[in-house]
Amino acid sequence: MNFYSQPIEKIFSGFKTSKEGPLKKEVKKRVEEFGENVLQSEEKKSYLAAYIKQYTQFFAVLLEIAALLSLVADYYVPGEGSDILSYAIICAVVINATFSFWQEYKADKAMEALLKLMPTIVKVKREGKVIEVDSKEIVVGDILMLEEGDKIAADGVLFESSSLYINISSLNGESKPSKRENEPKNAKTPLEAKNMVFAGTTVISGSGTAVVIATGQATEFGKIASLTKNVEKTVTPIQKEIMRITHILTIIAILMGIVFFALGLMSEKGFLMASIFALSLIVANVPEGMLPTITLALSMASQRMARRNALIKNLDSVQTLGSATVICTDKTGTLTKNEMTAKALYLSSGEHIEITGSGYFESGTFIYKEGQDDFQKVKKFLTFAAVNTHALIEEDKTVGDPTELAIVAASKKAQIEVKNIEKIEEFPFTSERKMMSTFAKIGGEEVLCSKGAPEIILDLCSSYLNETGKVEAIKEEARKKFADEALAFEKRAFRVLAVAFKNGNREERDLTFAGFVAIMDLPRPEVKEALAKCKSAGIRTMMITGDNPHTAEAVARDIELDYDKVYTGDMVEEISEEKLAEELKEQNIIFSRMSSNQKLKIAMALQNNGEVVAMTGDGVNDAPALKKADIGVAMGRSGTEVAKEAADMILLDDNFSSIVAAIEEGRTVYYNIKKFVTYILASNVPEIIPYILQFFFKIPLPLSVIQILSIDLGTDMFPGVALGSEKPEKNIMKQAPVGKYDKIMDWEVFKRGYFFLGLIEATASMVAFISFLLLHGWEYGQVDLADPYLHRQAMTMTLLGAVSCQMLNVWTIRSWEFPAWSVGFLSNKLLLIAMVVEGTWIWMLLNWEPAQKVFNTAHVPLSELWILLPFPILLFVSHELYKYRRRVKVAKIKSEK
Amino acid sequence: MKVITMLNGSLSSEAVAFYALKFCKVHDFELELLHIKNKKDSIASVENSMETVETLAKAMEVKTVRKFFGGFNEREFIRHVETGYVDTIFSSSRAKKSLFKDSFSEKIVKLSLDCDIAVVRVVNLSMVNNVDAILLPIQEARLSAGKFSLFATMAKTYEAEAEIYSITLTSRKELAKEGLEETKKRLLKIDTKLSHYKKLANLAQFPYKIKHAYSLDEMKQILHHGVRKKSGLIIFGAKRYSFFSIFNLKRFMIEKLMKETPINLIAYYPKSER
Repeated sequence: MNFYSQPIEKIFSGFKTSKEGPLKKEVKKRVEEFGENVLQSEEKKSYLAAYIKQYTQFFAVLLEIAALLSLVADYYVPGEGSDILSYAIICAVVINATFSFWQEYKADKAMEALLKLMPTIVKVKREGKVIEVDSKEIVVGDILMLEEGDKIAADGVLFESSSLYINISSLNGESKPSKRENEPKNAKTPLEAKNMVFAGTTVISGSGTAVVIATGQATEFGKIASLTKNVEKTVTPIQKEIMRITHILTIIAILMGIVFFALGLMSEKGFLMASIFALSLIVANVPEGMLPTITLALSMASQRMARRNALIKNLDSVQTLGSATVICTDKTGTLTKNEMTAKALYLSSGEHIEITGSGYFESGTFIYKEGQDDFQKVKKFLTFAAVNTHALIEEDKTVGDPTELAIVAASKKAQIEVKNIEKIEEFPFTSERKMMSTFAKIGGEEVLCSKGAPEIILDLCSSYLNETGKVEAIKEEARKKFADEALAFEKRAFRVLAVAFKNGNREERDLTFAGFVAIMDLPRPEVKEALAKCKSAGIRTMMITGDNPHTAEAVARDIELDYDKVYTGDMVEEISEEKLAEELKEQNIIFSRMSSNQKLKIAMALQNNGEVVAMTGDGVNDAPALKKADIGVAMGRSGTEVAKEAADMILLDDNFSSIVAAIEEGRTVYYNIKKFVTYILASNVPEIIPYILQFFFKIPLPLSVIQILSIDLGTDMFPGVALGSEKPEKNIMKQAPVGKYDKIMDWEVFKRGYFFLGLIEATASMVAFISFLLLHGWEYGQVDLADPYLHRQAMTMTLLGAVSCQMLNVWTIRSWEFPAWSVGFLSNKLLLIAMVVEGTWIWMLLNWEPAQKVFNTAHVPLSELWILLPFPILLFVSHELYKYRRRVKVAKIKSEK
Repeated sequence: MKVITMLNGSLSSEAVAFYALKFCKVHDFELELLHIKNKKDSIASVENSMETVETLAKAMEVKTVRKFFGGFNEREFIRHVETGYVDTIFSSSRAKKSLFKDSFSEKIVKLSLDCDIAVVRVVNLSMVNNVDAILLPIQEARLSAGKFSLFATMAKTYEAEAEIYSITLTSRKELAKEGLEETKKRLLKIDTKLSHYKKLANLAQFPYKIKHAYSLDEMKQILHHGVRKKSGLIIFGAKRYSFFSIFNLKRFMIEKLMKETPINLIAYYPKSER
């Protein structure tokens, strides 16, 4: 037998207490035994440790070693600029670490939000006296004294109650006040037991006395908190990818460093020279600006998303959005407007009337079927309905229950002013009665108006208003017809309310049936288009709603949401996780009558299928599912603080189409990162090749390490950031989602970056360097130039060879597939600014002495820069041809399929 | 053979006795209600608890015997266990513990006792009577016969849904690397290693499920899964303390688990692993 089904005396004896509460000395023991009535909070994260951790990442360690070696080199061979180089490398490490730390700074505050819901001072009875204690001192066996407005401190079983209603939305998402009694009423679970009250919930009205049976972490609320706390967040794709890219490039850098260090030793260059040479190659291989650029790209994307009403809490989530394959969305407020609208009336005299205008503020009219135009009948009917409301619609604000607001809005369309009607007595709505009545003076006559569930009202009616407007007794046939009309509305996803009246008498029986009002939460107009977008983008959408299956299906049909099956919460509860995963593999399922805690099961089943899941939610109970989903999406308007804290993304307008917009941005970010990784890798090649050539051939050093840093952290950074802010490409939502296992740095990126664009840039740099030297009288074999100024000029030419190519590379790489001109030359303002910055930077390297000193560059006359001209053009044209060939190939594959 | 349950008059020690009673009932053991006198506990409460347990035992047809020690004496206690033909000692664990002084349950897991010890943390008294699901978390395929028999006993006596939860500890890097095929192979290997328990369970007509999970944090994974599966009891294998226990990371994990669990938990210290 469940404990809540036991007689209260047995519960008292089990918990060694009584109606008078426990003994005070017993309380102390119980605190020691069961602990304080608090939730275990997450251990605080040390931000300092998190920041220091950034300096232990692969790239960072590599650069730190490089900086150290430079300092050592400067100690043994001073005056060669190695000290400046080491400071520059340290600067690069600090920039990297600071930006990366920023990502992790967003701490998870879900537990704190949960703690905020717990009360502080509560009334309990101990040794027969009612006292006020700190909620953390509550123990099992304490007697809780509950009053209106109280936040309940622990789980308890009621033994006294008077019209007690509590709000248990924090546990089950159900916003309707839940009546509490002294009997459990056939409950299967504690949450269903009517004689239980729960920690973290609030007393809406009435009063009660309960014996505490669980405290702290052991309460139902504590368990949810524990679920939220103990969900392990999976590694986001971008984290994995950054790790992978870092590893690949580090391995390449170290291998190259080791090989050339060994070769250096063998070629009798000496230990120090060989070390410096290896160090230069390592620095050349590390794309210093890449990690901060990725962070910046993600950060800019999150700002763009915020402008589209999707607030991203965790930067990593931006890219995960691009991989989303399934959206599990709530219905109310997300797919629909969460504004109930009376859309149709059925009068007992047989008229069907449609009502135009949606929401509470839009004006509208009544559309009658031919020959049925009788506004007075409609007005009378809506007056009976509207008398039974307390809702208010004023200029720009509404007060009251959404269903009542819908009736008030409809009555306004019929120019009825409810406030002018004198109400004499009210018989309130209760969940047991499922109806309410108001005895009022309407047009000088005293009338009892009733409104409620169709089956209840019809049962109380003995007559109806016929076609002639006269009262006529209901025969079985007519009763059945009315019931069928109600059912037909329900099947079309309407919420149906029956309206009846009675003249001069307040008794709620022998009523005259007046008709039905059909109310609906209308779909958001933009949802259809968003769903179509999802479909073409290969994203499945599944609706999860607390509504009944009929309503869920009707809404799905209305918004053209594809589905194969409808499941109820009970079915989800019964089915195993494996079976659910199997079902979800191929089929789109609508989940109806769902409670929030079943969402977690769906999220896990989908994830087991390898899906990347975006899940929406608003209640406290949604928090575990939001945390578990790859992208937890909380509702900004209707969501609880806990849901918002647990989510990765908050929808500022609660709108489904904002999720789709965010996914579009996520995909854009993925391709943008791909573009600038390719862009950055391309400039690595002209940084590496000069060293390799200098090693094998008798030529002077074409590029210094500090010049490499000037490219990576100077000329490449701004265009790279600009690439991160590129707008979505035109086919972005017509492609399949970015696969969970698709890599940013795939063979295509390597091929384009290193072996295609990079080689052209390396050729440009070396041709510029050698031809400049030859034009100034250099002969092959002269490794040490007599004129250092000439050497600096030649190195500047190498630098400019790479930079000039990168300047056009950035324009052609803007689109991964389409021609550069199709994107629009002025569409990315940041890129135009980056070009100006880059131009200024080059000018400084060529003409400004302090910059020349630091970066070892020199002035090169404009007349000698012509050598550089053909290569950027060659790079641009050949990359456009490459993309054209790729487009043809893709089109061919598609047509073959 | 007999089972000893330690009683000190507290609610949780009474709850622990209830678990011990269930265990005795299945194996037809005698239940010894043992109290070690100390200043803190009231004899009246202890006797009251003993009476409650005896009433329950009578209804369940389990033989009980009362025993009082004047104080805790290691030698006396060891001798009592050795001569008493004791199978298991059930003892409760409190939420608040002294940093510098061992609790009673900590003391007995340090002793060379020739019996199994079940240290029970009761957080929810309402879950003692009514257990719908029992969870036995293990690391990969590390399952001893003793642990399995306690788990099977409890699951059978409560007629609860039984689940062995095999956790493979991994790192984020490994998790990202492992493909579906490797995962399948790894899980199959675990299932194969546990197959003799399956055979035993079939013989005893005791159905149970095995679930697998990869985790970065064993404790979090257990708690999360236990709450999600609405488990009423978690049975967890532990090692007896020794001089080197201070270096035993698992000990700290168990202590954390005991502190943070929202579900009643039995930490099982088998004699075989002493």
